[in-house]
Amino acid sequence: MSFHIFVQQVVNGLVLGSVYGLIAVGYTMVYGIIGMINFAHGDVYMIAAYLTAIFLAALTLLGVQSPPVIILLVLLLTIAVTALYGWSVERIAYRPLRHSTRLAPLISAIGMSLILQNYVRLSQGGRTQGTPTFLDGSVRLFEQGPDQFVQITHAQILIVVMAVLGMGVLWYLMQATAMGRACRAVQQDRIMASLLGVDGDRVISLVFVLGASMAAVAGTLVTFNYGSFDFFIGFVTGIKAFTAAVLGGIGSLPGAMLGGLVLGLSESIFSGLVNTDYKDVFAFSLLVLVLIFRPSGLLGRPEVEKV
Amino acid sequence: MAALLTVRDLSMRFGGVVALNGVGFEVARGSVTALIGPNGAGKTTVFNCLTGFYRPCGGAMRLSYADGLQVDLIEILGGPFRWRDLSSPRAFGRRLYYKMFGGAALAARAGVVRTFQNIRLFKEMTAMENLLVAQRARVNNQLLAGLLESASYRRAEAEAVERAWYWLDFFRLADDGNRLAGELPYGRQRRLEIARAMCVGPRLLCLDEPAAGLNPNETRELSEWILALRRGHGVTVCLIEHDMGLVMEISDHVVVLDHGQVIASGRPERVRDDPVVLEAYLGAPGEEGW
Repeated sequence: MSFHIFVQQVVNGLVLGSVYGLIAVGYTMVYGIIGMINFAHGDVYMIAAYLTAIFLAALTLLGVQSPPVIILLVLLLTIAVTALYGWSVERIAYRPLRHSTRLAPLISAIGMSLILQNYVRLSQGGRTQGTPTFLDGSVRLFEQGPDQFVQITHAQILIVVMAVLGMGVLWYLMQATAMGRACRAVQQDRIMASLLGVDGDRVISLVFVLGASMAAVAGTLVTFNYGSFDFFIGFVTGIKAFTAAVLGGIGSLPGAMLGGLVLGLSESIFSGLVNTDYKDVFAFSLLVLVLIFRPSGLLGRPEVEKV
Repeated sequence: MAALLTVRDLSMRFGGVVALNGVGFEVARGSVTALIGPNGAGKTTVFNCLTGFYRPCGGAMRLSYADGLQVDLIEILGGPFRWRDLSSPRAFGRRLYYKMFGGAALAARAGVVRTFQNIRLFKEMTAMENLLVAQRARVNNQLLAGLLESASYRRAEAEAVERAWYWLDFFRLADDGNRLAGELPYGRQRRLEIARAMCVGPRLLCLDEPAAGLNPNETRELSEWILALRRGHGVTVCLIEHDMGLVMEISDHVVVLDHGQVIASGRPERVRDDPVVLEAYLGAPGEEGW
């Protein structure tokens, strides 16, 4: 494999990894705080893709021309509405089951996922849809001839920048603000936190809102980049992002980002080096290997049962 | 002295097991009241009901503060509907509101805060952070305010940090502010837990075996602190304790529980000499000593 292809695959892998990481954050935070896997999270990402197309069309209809304004507005509107979806999913499907068995919210998560998929299929149609690709300018690096270059589209750059920015903001929120402190307290001992007057339900809602917002960022940027989507994209991407969260150590915020990058890079480099058909096999083999040697993931901490 | 907390007919059943059977007692404003009794008598269950850990099956728990504020603890913990709620939409609305949004957090906000027999600190947070989390009413929990560090957010944080330092100093933990709570030695963890409870701003502080595992020196210190809290900070204390020396020394009023019922209550020295109490503890009437 030539140098150029390799670097191109690394670039693609970083972009893919950033997307996985942004979605994985939602899985890992929810797991951290209530110990359940939110299987509807991938579909929240899918909803964000549809919302992006809707807002893009609406803004164009209203005659907004300037790309930065469109990007910013679409991003903000999509985040707002997707966050509302995240909040509603928790309120409707998980909160009423808070005190039941551990499996109950898992089943209702799967149900929620099916509901969201079919709701979109019914309301938007089952065909693959598209938006005109947006931000299709690109930068070429290491250019040495007609076929010898590494191409990075502006949308790809935006994805990586937004992923880094989003993770930075989230990290700051969790570590340095009063709300983040309350989140960490609820994560460690929800009952004790409520006995100190911290409203656990509000904190949990917030975590869902934050997770959905990150998925919204991913959904919007991927739509800007690829321009096509259908009602089922949430499933595969969701499974991959969940894998990334487990790989990085579920419950750990930096772990989700790292897991996403490792998964994205290995998938992409494998497709460049060997072939594309087996990239998923490779990605999941990697997961199995990591879990054999580090059962709690790359950055996860093993749960020590004190006696 | 007027009662801060009135408990009447409190019952709690777990399936067929009756943990509390018509428990009633009063905690006077500004007093130190001790709840004692043999193991399994239901002392901790009373605390669990008071703080919203359990939903009692029946009875009443009322707080009445010196400033005239009355709180029905059963109601704010989301008590069951009653027939007479149907006659007044207002009562019905309140009942419904607390059913939906009530719970332990509201009991804490009403001023009832407890510590645990087995320490429940947030072990992976620093001592300081533990105290800051407890100041929910004071700090600004708004997401955007925290992100943008608005002026009101910074002011609230500064006040909370100052208050946290006050309590760290008070319990001689000033050097441990930035250490992880889980790394502190046992005795300090106990103190930190009381400091954290004080940061909530309790009016009724419930201590569940605060002296368990402490050496005699630490226990003496603890009793001084408890008395200082009552004297200097207007806190009413309700404690569960097995160390009878401590109970006799600091409490004004003792309530004895056995098999989920109150078998005696009164001044410490009176309770100590009550034959019923001796029998509950020792299983035989008339024997001497605790």
